Amino acid sequence: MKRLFRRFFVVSVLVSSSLVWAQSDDESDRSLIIVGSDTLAKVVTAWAEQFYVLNPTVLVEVQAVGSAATPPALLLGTATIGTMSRRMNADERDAFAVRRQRPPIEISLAVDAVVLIVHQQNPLKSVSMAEVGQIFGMPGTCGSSMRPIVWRDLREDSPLANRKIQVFGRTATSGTYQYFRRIALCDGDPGIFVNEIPGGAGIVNTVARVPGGIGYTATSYTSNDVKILGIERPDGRILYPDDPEYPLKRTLYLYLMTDVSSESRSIECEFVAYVASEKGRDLLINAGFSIPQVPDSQSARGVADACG
Amino acid sequence: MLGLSASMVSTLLLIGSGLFVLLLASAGDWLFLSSGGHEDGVLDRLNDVLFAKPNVENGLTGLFPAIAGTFSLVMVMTLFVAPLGVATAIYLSEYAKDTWYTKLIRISITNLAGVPAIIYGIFGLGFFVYGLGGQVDALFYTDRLPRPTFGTTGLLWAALTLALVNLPVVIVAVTEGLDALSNDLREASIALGATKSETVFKALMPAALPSVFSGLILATARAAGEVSPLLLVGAVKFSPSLPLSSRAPFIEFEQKFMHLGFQLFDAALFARLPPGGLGWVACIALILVLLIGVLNLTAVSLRTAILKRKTFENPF
Amino acid sequence: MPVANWRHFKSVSLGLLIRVASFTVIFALLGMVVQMMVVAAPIFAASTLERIDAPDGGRGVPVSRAESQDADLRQPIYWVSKGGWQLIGNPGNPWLWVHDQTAVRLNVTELPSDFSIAQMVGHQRGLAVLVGNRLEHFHFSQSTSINDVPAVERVKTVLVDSDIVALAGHPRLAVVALATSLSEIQVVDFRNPDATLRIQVDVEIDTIAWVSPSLIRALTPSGDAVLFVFRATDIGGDWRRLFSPTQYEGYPSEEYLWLPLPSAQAAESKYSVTPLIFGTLKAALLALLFSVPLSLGCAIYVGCFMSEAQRQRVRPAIDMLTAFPTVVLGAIGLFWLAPRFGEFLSALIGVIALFPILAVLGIFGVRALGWRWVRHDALDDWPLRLLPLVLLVIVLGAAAGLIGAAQLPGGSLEAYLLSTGLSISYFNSLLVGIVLGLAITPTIFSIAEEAIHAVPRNMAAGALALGSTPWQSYRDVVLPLALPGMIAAIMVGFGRAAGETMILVMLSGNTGILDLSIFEGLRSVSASLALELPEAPKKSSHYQVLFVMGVLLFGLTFIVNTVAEIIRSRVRMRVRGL
Repeated sequence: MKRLFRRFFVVSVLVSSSLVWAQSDDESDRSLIIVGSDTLAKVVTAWAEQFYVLNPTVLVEVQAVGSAATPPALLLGTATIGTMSRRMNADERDAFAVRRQRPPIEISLAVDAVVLIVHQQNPLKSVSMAEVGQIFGMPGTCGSSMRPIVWRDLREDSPLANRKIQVFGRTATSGTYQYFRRIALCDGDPGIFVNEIPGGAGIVNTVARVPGGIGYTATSYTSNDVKILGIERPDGRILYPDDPEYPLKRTLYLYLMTDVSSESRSIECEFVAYVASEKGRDLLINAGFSIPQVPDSQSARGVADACG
Repeated sequence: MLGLSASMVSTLLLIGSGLFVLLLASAGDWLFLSSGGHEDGVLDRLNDVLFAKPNVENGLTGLFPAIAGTFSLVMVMTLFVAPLGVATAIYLSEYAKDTWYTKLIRISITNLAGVPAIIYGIFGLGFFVYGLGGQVDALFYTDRLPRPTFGTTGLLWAALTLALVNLPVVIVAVTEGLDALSNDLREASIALGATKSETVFKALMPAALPSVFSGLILATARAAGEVSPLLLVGAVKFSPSLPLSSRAPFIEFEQKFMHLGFQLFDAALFARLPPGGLGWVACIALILVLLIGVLNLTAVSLRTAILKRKTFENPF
Repeated sequence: MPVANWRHFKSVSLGLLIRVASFTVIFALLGMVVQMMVVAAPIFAASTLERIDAPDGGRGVPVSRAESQDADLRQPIYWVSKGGWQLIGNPGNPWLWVHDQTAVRLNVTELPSDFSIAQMVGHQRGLAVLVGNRLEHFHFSQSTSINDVPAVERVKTVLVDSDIVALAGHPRLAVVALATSLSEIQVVDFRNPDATLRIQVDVEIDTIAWVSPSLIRALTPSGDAVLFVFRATDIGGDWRRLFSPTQYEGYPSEEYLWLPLPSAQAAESKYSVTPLIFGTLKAALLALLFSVPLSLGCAIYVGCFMSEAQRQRVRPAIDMLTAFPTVVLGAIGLFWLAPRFGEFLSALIGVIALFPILAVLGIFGVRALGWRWVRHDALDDWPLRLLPLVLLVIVLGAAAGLIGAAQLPGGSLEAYLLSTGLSISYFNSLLVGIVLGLAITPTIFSIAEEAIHAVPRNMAAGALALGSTPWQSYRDVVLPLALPGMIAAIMVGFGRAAGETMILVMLSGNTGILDLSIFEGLRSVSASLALELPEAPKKSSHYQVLFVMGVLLFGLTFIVNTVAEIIRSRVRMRVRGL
C-alpha cells in the first residue's frame, strides 16, 4: 500500500508539473485550426497538408462538416480560420462584432458553382430554374403548383417513366444547402422528401448509383460517374457551369478570427500568404475552383500583404 | 424447429465471417492485386497506406495518425475509467449499505449501460466542452483567450465522454465479479484481523481481478468502435500531428485528433474517393475490426479463465 | 475516534478515497440527466414582455427595419413579389395586385377591404390585417414571374380588443405588437394566440414599432418613447408545436415539419419532433423484425441444447459480431448493400423462403445420417455440422431468389415493384432495418441466452426422461420460464436500436417524413442530434430543441431498460426458487 501511495504521489507531481510546463510554453500557440465548409474541405486539406510539410512544428487541425460551424467557431474562438460556402449573414456578423468589437476579416477565396447532377444514363440534359424549385422544394416553392413525383411528370418522354424522382441534397448545416435554398428555392422550404446526405461527395457517389436520382452539389465534387445538367433559361438558352451567366455561381469565403493586421507574423498570416502564393493558387485551381475578381482588400493576396 | 434453431446459429456465424471475408477481400484486392503504379511491392504499399503523410483526399495514404489517435483516445479513457469504475464498483458492493437508494443507484447504473452513446456525446458537448472547458480556460489559460485551449473539443473531453459511456459497463462487470466471490473470503479475511481496505484490496480484488480486466478490455473495445459521440466532441478530418508528445504527460490532452472510425465515416460520405476508394474504405474498416476483435478476444479469454477458476474454487 | 494505528488509518483513508471517487461517478452519471434537462428547459419558457427604462427616453435607440415598415403604412404598397407584383391596399378599398411593369391590376378578393390597419409581419411574406376586433394573419406565396400571381391564404384569426390604435408586425416572427386607446401594450403571437402579453403604461400611445426582434418602441403623441423588451423562443411558448401538427405560414394545412434552420434568417423555424420520433421507432421496430428470429433462434439453441463446453466456445464466437462497430456496418451497407439492394432483397426473400425447408431437411438429414438426437449431448455439434448445409441453403436460396426475380414481369424485383407503382428509395427503411438488426443481434442474443440458460437443466432433462423430444422439453418446460427474460432481451435490443446513430446517419437518407412504407427513407432522433448539434449555436432554440430530443431519447431507452431489468430480476428470483 505504501508503494501505491508513493506512486500516486509521483504521478500527481508529474502531472501537475507538466501542466505548469505546458502553460508556460508558448510554442504550442502555433496552431492552425480550420473549421468550416465541406465544399472547400478538399482544397483546405490539401493546403493544410502542404503547409504542414513546410512548417512541421505547427499544429494543424482541419474540421469540415458544414459552413454553419464557422460563425460559432470563430465567435467562441474554437477555430482561428473559418471557411464558408456562403457569406456570413447579418446576424452572424453582428454577433461577431459584438464579441470582438470589429467585423471578421473576410477573404473572397474562390468561385465555384452549384450543379445539378443526375445518373449517367439519364437522358435529361437540362432543367429550368422553375423545375428545380418544383423538384427540390415543398409544393408551392417559387410559385410552383405541383411536384413531379415520377420522371414522366417532369419529361413526358423520359425513359425512366414511372420511376420515382429520388432527390438528394445536403444537410441543413451546409452552406451549399443554404445557398441553394436561397437562390434555387426562392427562400422557400426544401422538401422533406429530400434525402439529406452529410457530405457533398456522398451525393455524387449516391447519384452515380441511382438511375432515378437527382441531386445538387459543388462543381469540385463532381466526377465522371454523374451527368451535370444545364440550366435552361426562359429564352431557351442552356447554361452550363462554365458559362459566366450560370445562375448558381457563388463565391466561397475564408474568415479570420484574429485581426491579422495588428498581430505581427501570426500563423494565420503565414497561412493566408501560402494560400495566395503560386502553389496555393495552383492547388485551388486543380481542385476545380476559380479565382474571384475582387478588390485587393478582399483577396487573399491583399490580406496577406496587409499583415506583412 | 430444433433444426431451424440450430441453423440460426450457423447462419449468424456465417454472416459474421461473411462480413469479415468481404472486408478482407476488398482490402486485400486493393492492397495486393490492383497495386497499379506500385511496382515496389506489397510491403512498400502497406508502408504507404500506414505511414506515409496523410493524404486522404488524393493519395489514400497515411492511416497512422488515425490509428495513433484511436489508441491514445482509448488509453486516456482507460486512465479515467479504470480507477473510477473500480472504485465505484467496490463502493457499491463492499462499502454501501444495502438500502433502497443504493439499490436504486445500482439499477440506474445498470440501465445507463443501455443509454445510447450519442446521449453521452451531447452531454459531453454541453457540459465538458462548453461548461468545464470554458472554466478551465478562464482559470488557467487567460493569456491565450479568446483562443480556447480546453474550451473546445479535444482529446481530453472526448476521452472523458467515452469514459462516461463505458463507466456503467465497467462498474457492472466489476460489481458482478465482486458479488460472485463467496462470503467465506470476506469472513476469513476479517477473522484474520485484516482491516476493511486490506480485505478489499488484498483478498477480494486479486480474486476479482480477471473480471476487472475483462470489463476494462470490453470497455476499450467498445470505445474504439464508438464514433457517434466523437462527431460531437473531438475527432477531426485532418490533424497530422499526433496527440502524443515527448514531454511529461506524453499526451496532448487539449489537441484534436484523428480517429479510425471517424476516418471511415469521413471516407464514406465526405471524401471524393478516387477509383479504388472502396478498397481504402475496406482497409480502414478492417483495421478497426481487427483492433476491436483482438481486444474482444482478450476479454473473452480472460472471462473463460475466470469461469474455469470459479468452477475450480467453488465445486458447489 | 482516535486513529488506532497506521493500518487502521490506511483503511479509513482508502475507504474515504473510494467513497469520494464513487460519489463523483454517481453524481456525474445521474447529474448528466439533470444537466440535459436544464439545457433543454428554456425552450418551454413562456414569452415575456417587460418595460425597460431607457436613459434618454429611447431616442438613442437606432432605427432599423421596423421604421421602414412604418413608412409602408403611409404608402399603399405593402409588398413586392420577385415577379414584380405589388400589393396595394387602402382602408375601405379592395386590395390590389398591380404589376410594376405592365400595370395590370387584379383584385385580391381574399383580403378584407373593410380593414382599419394592416402591417407586414414575420418574414416579409405575412400580412396582419385588423378588421374591427379581428386580427387576421395572411400569407403570400412567392412568385417569380408575371405569369403567376402570388396566392394569398389566411393563416389564423385572433380576436383582440376593439380599441386598437396602433399595430406593428415583428420583423421575423408571426408576432404583432398592439397599442390600445387605454394605453395598454399587447403582444399577440399568432403561433400561440391564447397567450397574449399585456402591459399597462401610464402615458398615451399613438404609434408603436419594432426596433429589433426583441425591442418594441411605443411613442406618445409628444414624441416620447417607451421601450419594451419582448422575449420568445422559436416555438412561442407553445410546447404543442413540438409534437402536434402545426399550421405554418405558407402551408395550406397543418403539417409535421422538421426544418430547423430558417432560410436566410427570415422564415420561421419548424421544429416538429414527431417525424423524428416516428423514424426512430420505425427503424428500431424494423430492426427487431430482422433481429429477433435470428438472435432468439440462436439463443434457444445455445442456451438450451448445447453442452457447457460447446457453449463456452460458441457464445464468444457470436459475441465477436460486436467487433463490427456500427460505423463499419454502416459503411458496408452504404458501399456494398445499397447499390445492389434490389438483388439483395430478392436473394434475401429466397433465403427466407427456403429456411423452413431447411429445418425439415436438417432434421431428416441429421436423422438419416444416424445421429441419435434423443441423446442430449449429440445436439452439440449441430450448428457446426449444419454449417455446410446452411451455406448451401443460403446460396441456393439466394440463387432461387435472383432467378425468381428475373422471371418476374420486368426482369427484376425493382422493375416488378415499379410496375405495381412501388418505387424503392435508394436509402430506405428496410435497408436500415436489416443493417440495424444485425447490429443489435449480439445484444439480444446475449441477454436472451442468459435467460434461457438460467433455467435449470434438470427440468428439461426430466421432460426428456419422460419421453418428450428435445424441442417439446424446450417448448413446454424451458420457454415458459425463460420467456420474460427473452422479452427483456428484445426490449434492450429495441433500446439499443433506438439510440444507434452511425447506421442511421449513413443509411437512413435523413428524410423527415411520416410514411409507413418500408421502401421510403426516415430520419431518426439520433441522426439529427449527430448531424445538427455540433453546428447549432449554443443557447439557440435549435440547440434547446435538440436537447429536448436528447432527453426524450434518454427517457425512452432508460425506461425500456428499466422495465427490462425489472423483468429480468423477477425472472432471476423465480428461477432461483426452482
